[in-house]
Amino acid sequence: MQISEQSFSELEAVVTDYEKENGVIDLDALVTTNCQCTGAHCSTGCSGNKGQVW
Amino acid sequence: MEPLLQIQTDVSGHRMCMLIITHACNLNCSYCYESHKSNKRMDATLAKNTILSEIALVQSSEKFERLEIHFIGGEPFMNFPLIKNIVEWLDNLKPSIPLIVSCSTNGTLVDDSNKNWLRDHRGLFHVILSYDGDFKMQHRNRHTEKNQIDVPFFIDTWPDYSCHMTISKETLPTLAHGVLELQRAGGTLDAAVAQGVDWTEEDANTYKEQLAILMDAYLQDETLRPINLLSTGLFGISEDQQLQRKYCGTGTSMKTYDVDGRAYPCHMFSPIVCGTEKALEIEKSGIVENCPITDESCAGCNLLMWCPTCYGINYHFRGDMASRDHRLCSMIRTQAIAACEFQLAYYGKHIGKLTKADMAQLKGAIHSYRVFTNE
Repeated sequence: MQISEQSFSELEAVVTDYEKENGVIDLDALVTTNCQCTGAHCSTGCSGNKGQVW
Repeated sequence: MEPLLQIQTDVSGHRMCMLIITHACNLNCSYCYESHKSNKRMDATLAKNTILSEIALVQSSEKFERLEIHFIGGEPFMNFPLIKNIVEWLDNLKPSIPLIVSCSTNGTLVDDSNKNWLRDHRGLFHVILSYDGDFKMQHRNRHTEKNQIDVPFFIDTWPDYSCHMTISKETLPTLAHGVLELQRAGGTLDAAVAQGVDWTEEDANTYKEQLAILMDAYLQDETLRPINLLSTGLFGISEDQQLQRKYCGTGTSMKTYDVDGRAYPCHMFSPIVCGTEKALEIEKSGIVENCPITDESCAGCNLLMWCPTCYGINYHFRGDMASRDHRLCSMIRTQAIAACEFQLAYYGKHIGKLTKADMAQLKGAIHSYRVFTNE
């Protein structure tokens, strides 16, 4: 799937505008470090989740 | 407003207590890593005492706020009397902390004798069906042609998260069909490629084709929720990485209790996977947060921090918790690139509906796209 330069620039602009109003999004803080989903007993690091069970 | 794409995020304060309630299983799946199955099972008194100590731990802890009791096997429903006993006991006990009970099952032992009970207790007890796509895929991986598995029951009873799919070499060529069939039936599922498999470049190409079919389906049909393979958060992808962060809660916020009550960092380090001798050896050595977790041969890889790893699988197959299975590299990279391209296209299509979580997700995809195009 190819992303055109124009589409990519438009998406960048959306995030930039959002961050001007709401502050910079810290991507490092979102790196998974404590996965406990155990998706079907895990062993795979599947990034699964159990939905809104809490 | 719900995020457009559901991503997995770390849940702070979560204590995961896994109870291996039986070593027995009625199936023999092609990708199973449990090579020490037996008829051993946990008794109810031991299970209750273990749970009480875990509740006390969470109650007195500043680190933990909630507790999940996760039944594991073998096939947990081979010890259904214990499941029933414990769930009813916890329902009456009403501990003063947030608590759920969960388990994964192959679904073959869920029948008319226990469905009503499961429906009645679905608020406390969350069951995930481990199901590998459509009937043929399920048969290829699990040889379940003679078993009746009531997939709609799981979808109706636990709609937030019904199924988990393991992708094998045999089922990869029909991955998209299997996923879409379950999703069009109303199922909420996630999927992951099997570990310990000899994945090749040819498989990675097949994976790319299958993910492309899924991308098209999600871009055309907004009622389908994109599967985790494409909606996963693209955080931590950047140039020239040297160190990996610890990925999961094994040995820290997770604990697994075997049928005899002995505790292990997670089930992957327990006797049913490792055998008793090896399991005791690793238990003595201890796993702590600062254990060596970076595979040195991955240094410099842009995906190092993002790429999932299982310390248990690494130890089991290669004798080293850090040592990853490099036969997975092409599969993981294919998935990351597909997820990146999909998210840019998907958010581009829904640009006016993005939530705070979507903005973070989009930023991750934009950043990752730059990394991939500079490679």
